[in-house]
Amino acid sequence: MTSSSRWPRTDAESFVEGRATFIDDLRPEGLAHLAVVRSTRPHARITGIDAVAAKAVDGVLRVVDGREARLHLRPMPYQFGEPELIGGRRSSLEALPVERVRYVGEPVAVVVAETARAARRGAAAVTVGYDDLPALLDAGPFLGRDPLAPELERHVIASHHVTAGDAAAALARAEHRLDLTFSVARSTTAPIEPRGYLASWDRAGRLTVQASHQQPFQLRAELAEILGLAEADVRVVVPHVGGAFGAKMTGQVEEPLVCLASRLCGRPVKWIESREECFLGGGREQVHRLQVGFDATGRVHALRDDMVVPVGAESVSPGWRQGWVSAASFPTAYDVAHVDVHSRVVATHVPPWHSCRGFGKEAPIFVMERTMDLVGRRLGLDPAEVRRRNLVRPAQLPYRTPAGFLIDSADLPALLDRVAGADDDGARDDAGTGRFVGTGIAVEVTPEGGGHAAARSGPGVPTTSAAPESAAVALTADGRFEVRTGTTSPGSGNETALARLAADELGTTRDAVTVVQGDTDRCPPGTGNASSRAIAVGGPAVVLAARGLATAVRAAAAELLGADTDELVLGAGAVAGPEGQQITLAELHRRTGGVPACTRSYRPEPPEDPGYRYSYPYFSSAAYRARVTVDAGTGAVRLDALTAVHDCGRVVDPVLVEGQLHGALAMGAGLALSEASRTDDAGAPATRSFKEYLVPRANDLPEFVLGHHETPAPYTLLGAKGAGEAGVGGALAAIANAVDDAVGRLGGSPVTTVPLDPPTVLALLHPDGDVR
Amino acid sequence: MSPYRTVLPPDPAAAAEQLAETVTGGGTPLVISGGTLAVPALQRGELTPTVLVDLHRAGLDTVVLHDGYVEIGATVTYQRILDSPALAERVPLLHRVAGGITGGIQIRNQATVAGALCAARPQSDAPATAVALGARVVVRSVRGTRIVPVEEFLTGAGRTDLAADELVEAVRIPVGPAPRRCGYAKLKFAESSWPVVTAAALATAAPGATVVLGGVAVTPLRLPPTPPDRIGDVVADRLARLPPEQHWSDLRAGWAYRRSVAPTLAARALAAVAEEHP
Repeated sequence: MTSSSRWPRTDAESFVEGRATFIDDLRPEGLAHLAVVRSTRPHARITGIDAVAAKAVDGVLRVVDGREARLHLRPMPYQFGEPELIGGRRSSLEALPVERVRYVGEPVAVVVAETARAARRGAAAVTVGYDDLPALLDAGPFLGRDPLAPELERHVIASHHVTAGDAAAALARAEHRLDLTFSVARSTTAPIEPRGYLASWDRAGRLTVQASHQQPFQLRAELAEILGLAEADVRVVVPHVGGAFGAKMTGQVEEPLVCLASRLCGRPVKWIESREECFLGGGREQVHRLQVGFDATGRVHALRDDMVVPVGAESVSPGWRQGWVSAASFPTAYDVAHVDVHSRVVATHVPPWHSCRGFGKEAPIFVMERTMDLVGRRLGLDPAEVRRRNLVRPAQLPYRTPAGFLIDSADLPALLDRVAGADDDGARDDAGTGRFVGTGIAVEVTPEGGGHAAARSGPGVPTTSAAPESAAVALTADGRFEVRTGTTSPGSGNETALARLAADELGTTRDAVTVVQGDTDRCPPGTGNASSRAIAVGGPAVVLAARGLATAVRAAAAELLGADTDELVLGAGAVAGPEGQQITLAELHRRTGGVPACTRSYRPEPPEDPGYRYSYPYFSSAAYRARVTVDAGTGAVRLDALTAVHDCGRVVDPVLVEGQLHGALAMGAGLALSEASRTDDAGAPATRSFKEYLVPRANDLPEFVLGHHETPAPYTLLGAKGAGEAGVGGALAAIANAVDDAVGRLGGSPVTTVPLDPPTVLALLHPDGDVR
Repeated sequence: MSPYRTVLPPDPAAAAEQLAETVTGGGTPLVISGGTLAVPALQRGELTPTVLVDLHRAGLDTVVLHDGYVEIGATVTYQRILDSPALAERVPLLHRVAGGITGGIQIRNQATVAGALCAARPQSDAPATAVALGARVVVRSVRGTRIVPVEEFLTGAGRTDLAADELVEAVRIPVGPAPRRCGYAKLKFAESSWPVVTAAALATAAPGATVVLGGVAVTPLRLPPTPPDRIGDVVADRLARLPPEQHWSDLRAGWAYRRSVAPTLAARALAAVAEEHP
């Protein structure tokens, strides 16, 4: 058995055959259903909520508005770390507003009914009175560094300033300078399975919540606080999850509302999000006004950027933190001596940001990769060459970035070289049909593993520390092994890799290992799935626990066999000694009455540097090359080829890593070409289904070409770096550069915005024409 | 979501009676053929009928070749059209369009031409194709049956000539002694996207072909027979004269974009006509 054999997922068949259980498959006796009444105004005072008609709808059991909810629920606490560490304010909000709505789609009441349909009917029958207030939908006025008027200042959730050297002086003396503006549209996540929660209370007052969720332990803590319960009185169980991408992190108001509805009705209550509701949330939007200074060789010396990150309405979810990660990600893969990034994270009257895969790292890659191409174009340098002259080189590692991230391992020039010459299939322009070929490259460094609150340390600067993951491994009565872990799978299949890691330590095969995840009663605490931690951090916890159990099992066998522990070997189903003595694991369990389960925690521990806070513990990297065809007659872009060479450190399971990469590349392609969350002029969502929000389908995408380049992470036990997010920003940037390549040769304007939908591209091709 | 009752009439006459009864009683009927547009709209609460009249058992699922025309029943799906050798041979444009219906095999097995005409979406495949083919719509009610040219049937974006108590029973497409050469160009922004601009071209006796544009005006826009080398000017000229209230735009693209790409789409449809029989 090699550690990178191409095994399918352990549970693949249950998904293919439709046997896997998702939240909406759970239908306990007495189940009632919840629907949400949502604001139709972007910003308004609530003048009244009339539920008389709703209560008369056949099957409706209960209507709960903000006034009633606040009698039972404490305010929702801010989720996910300490906002003050990254210059943000600590939001605390009620689950349902009483005074004021702040975006179209904000929940204002919930309706519980016998059926989901009756609940929706009831919700439609609730009348809410509004007194409109001015709505802020455009964050443009926040661009720049001038002091803001008080009425604007109120909207600033966080301000960030990331600096190194003296950018102003370096720009002033630079031989060449470019002034550039870039923007990235708001977009969202589109899990096949939207969010869903099912709450029930037992007679003793203990709450059980089954949830399609990424963070069962965080959800337990949140619910305990809001509902005024001890954590021990809340159990969260996560069944199979059909994709998450950040949308299923803690802090959504429906989480406590379903629990409250269940308590008030005395019945299990379930809420399943509709696709339209799923598309309310979003992220990734930002505007950059950038100045870059460079010399005649293409070496970039200075970068100054003013950013605005409009994050929608304030919320307790980790959404807006992505704005910090964006600012802190500069200058991505490049060694720039003088950096000055100023960012405002601004609350607007559209639905709140939720975490979106990429977690703020994707837009800076687009900005930096476009900038590199434009620097190269100014000087007549090949895109690969201008990058070679600016990439962080292996000799510079470990490399401290302006924000304080420590890039500890990578070979960026090698990644670039592997893609720079890729995919030359001889595709050529066809002027006759108006179709023109473009190629683009991109290099990405992806900080992973959480703990992103990087900063210089010093007197009075609060410290940060690494979050651990834990696992327990036990021998079961039938001679098999059970792994219980605090990490969860969003549908990515990490349980397969965890089973294999345990099996390798236990001298057995994956089939003898059962992995239990997502049950706060059964599993040791952990962070669920976030920031590519399940294998890189959760994996070592499993390995250490399995290793500990293996030793304990051999010691127990030694006693029973009268042998020396050191000479015993743990193999498939049995422990054996050199002289043929042997005991099966089932018998060992029976005769010993069981070996205590072994629980271990693990946290990556990069070397401490008193000058800096603890931050991301590992950095994956990748290089990309995209080839597109631009239809000059319509502006339509076809993605013809996409190559990625990826360094996630040690590849524990190539099938799972490549699965992650396929998904990330598809997501990046969507962000580059078609995905945008749009609202109308009154702030109402206009992309409410997959017909308006265009996620790429298989036929929109080429066969991806993937390569691995392993530089092991020095500070994780397995050398793994995480593979969940790289590809989103890289594919986005490479495709944007490829479109720019074709458009530029045709005399068009530079690509400065995504998505590059056909009207946008046609406008680039006709800078003076009215073609949008 | 409103409470409604579903009926499955056994024949078109019963369907018409159901409609009359519902309308007379002050109710709101909704006729369902494939339901690929109507059912999601029902779920979203955008349609609030009291009676849903489902045509699936009304015996309207046949394709019948008559003298001079082919009659396509109201519940004939795009897949049935694809599977019909007669249509493939006699109405190649319709066959070509049916193969490219957005949504893939599930939608092709469910959606219908009659339903698409009733929805009257300016950007959909069916309206402009039906206009190019000179289709006529068979409209039935308890007051009788009338045959309406599709250009008169489509009265605006999402609007038709149907009265509340009328249903579309079939669509008739004229067929001549020999099939007419055709071309079809469709622009959409992703596999999942509805069409944005379409051009359906049919060869004429005169040089060139006639082209009908979809997704540009609120109803399909028929151009005079035009040789390929003049099509760009003809389209530009026609669109320049289009009254602003007929300009079509939606979330995908504004009018200026549609106007800009229409000549390209028209030229590609014409080029396809030429390529079909060099």
